[in-house]
Amino acid sequence: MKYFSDLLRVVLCMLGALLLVEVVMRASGERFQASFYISEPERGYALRPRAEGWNVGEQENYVRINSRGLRDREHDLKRPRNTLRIAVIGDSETEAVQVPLEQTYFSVAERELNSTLPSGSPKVEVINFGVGGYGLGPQYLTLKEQVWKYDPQIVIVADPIDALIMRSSRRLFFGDSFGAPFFVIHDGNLEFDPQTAAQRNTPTGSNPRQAWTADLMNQSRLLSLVNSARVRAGNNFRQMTAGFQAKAAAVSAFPVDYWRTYPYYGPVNADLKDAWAVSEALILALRDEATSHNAEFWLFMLDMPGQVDPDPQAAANLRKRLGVETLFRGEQLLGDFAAHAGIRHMALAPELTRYATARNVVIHGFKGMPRNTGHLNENGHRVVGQLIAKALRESSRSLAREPLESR
Amino acid sequence: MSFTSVEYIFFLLTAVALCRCMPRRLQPLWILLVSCVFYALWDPRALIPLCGATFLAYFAALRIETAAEGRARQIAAYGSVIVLVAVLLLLKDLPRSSRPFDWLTPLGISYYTFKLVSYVLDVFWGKQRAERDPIAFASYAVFFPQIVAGPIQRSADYLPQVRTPQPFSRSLLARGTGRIALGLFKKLVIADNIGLTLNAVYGGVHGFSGAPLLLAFYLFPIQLYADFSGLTDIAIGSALLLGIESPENFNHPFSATNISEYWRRWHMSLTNWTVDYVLTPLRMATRNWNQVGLVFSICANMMSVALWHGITWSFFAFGLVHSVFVSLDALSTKPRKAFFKANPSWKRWAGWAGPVLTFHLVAFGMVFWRARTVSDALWILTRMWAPLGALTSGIAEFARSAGWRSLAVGLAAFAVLELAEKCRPQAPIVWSLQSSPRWLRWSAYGVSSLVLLVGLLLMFVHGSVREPFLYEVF
Repeated sequence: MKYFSDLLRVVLCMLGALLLVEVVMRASGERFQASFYISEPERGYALRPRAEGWNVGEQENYVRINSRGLRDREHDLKRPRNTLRIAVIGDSETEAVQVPLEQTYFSVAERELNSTLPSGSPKVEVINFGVGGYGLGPQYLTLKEQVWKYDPQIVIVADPIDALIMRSSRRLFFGDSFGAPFFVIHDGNLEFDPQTAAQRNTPTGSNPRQAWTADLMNQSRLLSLVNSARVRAGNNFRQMTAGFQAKAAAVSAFPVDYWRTYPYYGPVNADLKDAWAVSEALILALRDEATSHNAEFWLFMLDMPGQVDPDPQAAANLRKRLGVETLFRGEQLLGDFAAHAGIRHMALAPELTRYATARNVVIHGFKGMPRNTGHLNENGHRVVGQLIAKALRESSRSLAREPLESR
Repeated sequence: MSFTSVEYIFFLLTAVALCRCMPRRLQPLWILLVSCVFYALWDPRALIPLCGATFLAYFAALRIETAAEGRARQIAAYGSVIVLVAVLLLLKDLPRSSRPFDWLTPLGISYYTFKLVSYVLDVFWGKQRAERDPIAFASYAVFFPQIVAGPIQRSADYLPQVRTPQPFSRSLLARGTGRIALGLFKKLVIADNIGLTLNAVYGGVHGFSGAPLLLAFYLFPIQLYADFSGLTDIAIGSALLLGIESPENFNHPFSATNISEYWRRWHMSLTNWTVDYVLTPLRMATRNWNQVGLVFSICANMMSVALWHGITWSFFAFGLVHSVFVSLDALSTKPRKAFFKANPSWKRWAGWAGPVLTFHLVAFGMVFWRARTVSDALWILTRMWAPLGALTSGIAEFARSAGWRSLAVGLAAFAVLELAEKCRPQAPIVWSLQSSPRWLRWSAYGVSSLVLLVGLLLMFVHGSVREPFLYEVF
């Protein structure tokens, strides 16, 4: 009996200590990266509904995922009357966990459109479907499976050129894809690659316990710390294996920093040709999917940090190092392709470079980071939002159609 | 491998565990081996000057002891000391552009040079016998807990211990791990949090005036104390786990009532060293010059302490400032004593005012220590004055922009530490626990393990954003 009474006292003391550690960590402002994702059978992973917590990478920002798993405010499934809906699909630049929601480019674009369209125009509602790490493959599945229930009239795919091309190829994909699907072209048709097909035969869906545990972790500093340590250890291990991958890649003549340099060249070798072919096929599939739902399809090519350095000398140095005449070769080629396929499109990088150079501001990166690296910052989001709004205002058929018909 | 990395903790645990499993006669060899591995992980090339210096001191001491005539002993002693100091100057103290091997930055060269110089001179002066065992002696030079930033242990203190290290006991384990935990707390919680604010100011002092500069003036002594004493605590704790007792480096320096006392409480192993090998010989040589000799000896001593950090104008100014302070203190000792004897009521006030005045003098000198240039230091000292009304708002505004939370955490932790020092029971907690009820003992072990685990996890997670120790570079 004495043993159990002692044990109970020890357990109570430990619980008190855990509580105290939690309180001290909160009071001292310790923050750790929250988990916003969950496994998902279709796309490998997706944003977890109602997940919330701190994003501490690049810039501290409190992030809330809405009840339907979007990094956005709540949106009714049913489109309100006299409202034009724009669905934005993209990767981490669109997910934008580094900046507050109201400063993201899609929020800026929504405000710009609502404030500048003539009176009597429909109210514009922009819905964000961006998820970090998604290439065109998962984005295509997002459009097919997630977007239409919101009944948008315009679908935007917005990605930088590296995401548009490099993430279409499992071979060129850098790091861990966390089960995201990849496509290949087989007999002229777009198909899942063999690994994705095998994964889909043994689906591992999300389970409520996984979501519950992740939510609990986000709410406790102590558990977040444990989770951060777990993720860091995993990353360290992956880096080790990535080292092996890099060695394997070197055997097949990949440059060491191919992930950063390849996007500037266009389809110059067999690997890039494959990636470009899959990307183009996926863009056509996205267009067809949008058209089949009577939605207008837009392709916005965002920028990479190296393209938009405000210092012309830095850009010249990069061109010299890469041995290219222009840093916008990928955008030019994809723009030609989109024009040929009848896709409305815009390459933002040249415009953003002019903006950054004229004002001598960096539009990527945050305090404490190396200059002009990482994701779009508040400046970048503002100007991207303004440019997208301007392009839509000037050229969108759906926005010009007045009054808006309720479908 | 930084002392605040998880890798170091695992390295230390492995080194200690294997050391304790070995027969006692093999332990010095093991300490030497792990110390060499620790050093080589920093830069294997840096082992070359370390081995060279160790060989030189070892054979010079043997020569001093075996040489029959005085001249040969003098040549061996002074020759080896000159070579050791010259290597130190060439590899560390000269500006990097003037160094012959600018690619080589030997970790802890100041510390092992000072250890070896003291050993050679002690043998020469007959204070100790030359060490015959090359393994024990080499482990003295390269002993890894002390190689980064001291404390500078004398060979007479270390060598008997390495031959018969303290047996491993629960008390030793508690003392060692407790000391390491205290060091990590000082460094990671106090110094690094306060350092965020200081980096913002010292990163561009010319962009500030008033409150931020005043804040930096007062905060830097606290940061440096937490940083350096934290590093020393980890070193002392690590050495304890290997069974070696190290000398203390700090003894509540900010409670010193005058500047001379401050130097007896701050970086004690270095100041004791310079007192023994610079100040005392000089004072003996100049004893006929009376007060002039005293001032000359003090100035030479303080300048050697300052320029040991590096030969720059900032450290020169730091040395000059402290030469003046300590000289004035030494010259005014007798009149002050006479005054307090005649006016005993003033003595109580002096007890309060002394530490405050001393802290300000120390903070004044440290501006030169921390600033990149003398011009930066002078900017701080001339522009930090602000009207009292503007001071609070200025501090609040700056703290907001630089991140008040980290500053508040750092200062609160410092206050907690000082309070804990004041309220610390006389008997070690471990001994009190042994007579406590079982549930209390278990709870204490459980909670300590939990706190250590959380600390380790924090170190691991924040590994990539850690600030280096300020004294690591010396």
